[in-house]
Amino acid sequence: MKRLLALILSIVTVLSLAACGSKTQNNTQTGAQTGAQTGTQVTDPQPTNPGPDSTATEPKLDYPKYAITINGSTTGSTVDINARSFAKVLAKYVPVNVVVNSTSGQVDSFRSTMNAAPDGYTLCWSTVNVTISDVKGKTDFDSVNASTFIACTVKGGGHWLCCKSDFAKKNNINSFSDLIAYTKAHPQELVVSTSAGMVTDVACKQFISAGMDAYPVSIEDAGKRVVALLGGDIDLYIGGYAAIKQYIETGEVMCLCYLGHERSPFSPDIPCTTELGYDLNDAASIYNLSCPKDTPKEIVAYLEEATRKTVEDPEYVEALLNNSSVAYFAGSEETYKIMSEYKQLMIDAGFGG
Amino acid sequence: MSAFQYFGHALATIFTTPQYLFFMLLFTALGILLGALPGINVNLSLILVLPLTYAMQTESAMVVLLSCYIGALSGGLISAVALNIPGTSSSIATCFDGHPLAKQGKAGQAVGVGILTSFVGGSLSYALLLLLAPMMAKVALKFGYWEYFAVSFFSITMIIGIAGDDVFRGVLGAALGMAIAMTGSDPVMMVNRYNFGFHALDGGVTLTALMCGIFAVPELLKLAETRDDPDVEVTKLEKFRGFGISAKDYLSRWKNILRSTVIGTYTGILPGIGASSASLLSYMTAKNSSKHPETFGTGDIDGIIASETANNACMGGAMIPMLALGVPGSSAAAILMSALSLHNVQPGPLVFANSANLIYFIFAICFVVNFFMLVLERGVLTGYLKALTAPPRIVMVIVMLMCVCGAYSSRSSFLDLYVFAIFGTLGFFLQKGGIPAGPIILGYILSSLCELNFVRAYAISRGNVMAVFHRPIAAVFMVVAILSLANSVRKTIKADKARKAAETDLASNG
Repeated sequence: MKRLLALILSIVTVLSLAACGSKTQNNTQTGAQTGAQTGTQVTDPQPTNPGPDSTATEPKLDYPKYAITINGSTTGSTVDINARSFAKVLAKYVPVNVVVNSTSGQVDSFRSTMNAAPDGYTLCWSTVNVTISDVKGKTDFDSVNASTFIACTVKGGGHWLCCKSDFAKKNNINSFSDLIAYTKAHPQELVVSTSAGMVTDVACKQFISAGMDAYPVSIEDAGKRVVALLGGDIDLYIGGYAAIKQYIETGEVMCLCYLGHERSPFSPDIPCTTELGYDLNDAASIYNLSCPKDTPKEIVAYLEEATRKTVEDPEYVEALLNNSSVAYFAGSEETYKIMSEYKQLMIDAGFGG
Repeated sequence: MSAFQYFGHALATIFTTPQYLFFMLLFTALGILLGALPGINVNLSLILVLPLTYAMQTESAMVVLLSCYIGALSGGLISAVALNIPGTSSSIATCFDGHPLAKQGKAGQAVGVGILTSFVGGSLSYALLLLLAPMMAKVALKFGYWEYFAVSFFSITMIIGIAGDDVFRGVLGAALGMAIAMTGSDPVMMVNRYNFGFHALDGGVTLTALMCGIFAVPELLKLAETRDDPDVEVTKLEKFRGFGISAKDYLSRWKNILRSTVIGTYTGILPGIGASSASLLSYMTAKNSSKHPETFGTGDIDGIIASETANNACMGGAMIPMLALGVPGSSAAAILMSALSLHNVQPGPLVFANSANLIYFIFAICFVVNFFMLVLERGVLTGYLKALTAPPRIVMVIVMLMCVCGAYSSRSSFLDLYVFAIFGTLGFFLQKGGIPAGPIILGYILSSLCELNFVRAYAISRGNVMAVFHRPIAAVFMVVAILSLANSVRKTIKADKARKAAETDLASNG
């Protein structure tokens, strides 16, 4: 019994050490812990195992020393998957582990990060959904000014409007204009999916403002919207392409249009709303990485550079393409500008709560 | 190639690749260990191993994740039986008969039967998965929001059946669980409720923190309460052989086994219902079908068989919408799907055409890992149970530590530790007052499902509540639920009258 207990405790200790361990750093450090406060020059982040010829000749920022945590979203969600794809590749450009934390949602992640120590070890992965929640008055913080943006990594993705092929055939609907005409003849008859408090809701309101007189019902997950469409609970799907593309390929679902100013590279045969004559906002998905407000500028700059390398990495680009998203890099200041403009756009469009 | 050829090829690949066998052995054992620890549920187990798979090939990643998943799912029964603390929410129903058996010194038999029936339920479910996956996916599409509401409403009425002798207190517990579930943002319109101005509560109360608190803290406080009581003895563990049940005895319960497999598999096919609902539905159906329903809750083996067969069969069912529709049938399946996405595999209707090798490889992994689970879990069972017979003051401290870690790790929030402590203490006093923990947790789980689906169905029907009776499947479940509720109320009133009559007779004779 004592031996068994000792064995169990030993295993627990070893597992704890493994969980808390970080990669061996190859760079040497200057004698004193100069840290970010004294403006130590930031070096370019190196891949985990730099080649034998690489040498460290410049003084190094004393960061990072241990694992970086990224607060994501609910486990298994699209945001969570994107966060994990990002973390997997980011780990190539920082000398420590990058761990994604699942939370109960993006707002929760943002709040946790905002309140964390500004030491660069707790970051937040979020989308414009936090900004929309802020505009609607559902948060106790200013989503644009309460933290420091490190970079934007994804812009685009977008929303497609789809219906079942047999429904379209039966009602002679071949385009978005046909759909608008149908809904005007049958107001509020069709049920369209949206997602309350999310960017999909913005997209849905855009379609409705173009004249589509359909009844919106909130379904938060794109996969569940697809099942609802196929099962007949809803008539129109608004959401990402990744969840529905296989059904478009089999012919079960027909895509009417893409909400955007130009055609999506994922569906070059699908017309966009601008070319169809509808001047609508594209309700783009913008993924960004942020950190607590008072994080030293040197650390922000370091992470910005590491993120830039991640976004340019072919592995990350491919992972995004498989989720029908496009890699896009914007630095700290530009991301702040993008998010500020987006928030103002939402306020001007009347999304305030 | 036909399905069987793909499957045969996959099996051959597994058995001729030592790396896969080694990963299965290692990660199944890890999964069992993690699942058996209160506070570390299936989802957390998967999240812990997910980063290990980043650098692996897709096949190896699937071996690791599925081994951990199947191990953790089955491991939850060990703490449910031995400690009355479910290792996973799907093992709640196992506590009802498992722990009473453990108190009788038959913990080994209870867990042994649970392991065997987990293997059988899983195997039958994977066989259905292999043969009928694309066809069974169509079942998921037949269920709309009214059907989901009806199933979850029916499950809520089943809670009355597990309330024990005092139905009123059981219903009160379920109502409390439902009230707790309403804390935070509502599931459809994201309106904050009952957060008392604390935005930290916007995400609501997590199941892990609540379950750990409600089950574990009262056990610790009871222990503290009885520490100086010389009449309280540590239960001795009876010896047992094999899985604690003869083959003849086990096979004589074939109706329960098959029925539980079907309930578990079909519940798993419906995205969002979950293994906890599956095991509850199966348990209650077994109780209602039993010739001796009064023995359920006192240590009836059929209760353990119903619960564990269903929750493992649910895993096979949950794979069907995940692979064939691209919609995860459970939160654990969502993690598996995210792992597939990270390896650039897109589940959906074309996956059988585009990635048939991988899909049948996944099926083959399930079968082989299920066997590993059977052998490993039985192998460590004796030692594990002996460890649990250590002085309770040592065991419970370790259990508490695990529960605290589990409660915190679900979303890395200190709020969950407060939830653990507050609801744990509340649970202790509720149990003193005769309100058991099971209905509270089941009320919490089922009410979220019920509300979400009702609000959506109500919106789609434009406020026409009677639309639920216009859909055949939903109507059947609603009628059965209403009849079941009425029957439970009738039985309670009858039992109450009989008790009062007996008391009156006693008083007049005495």
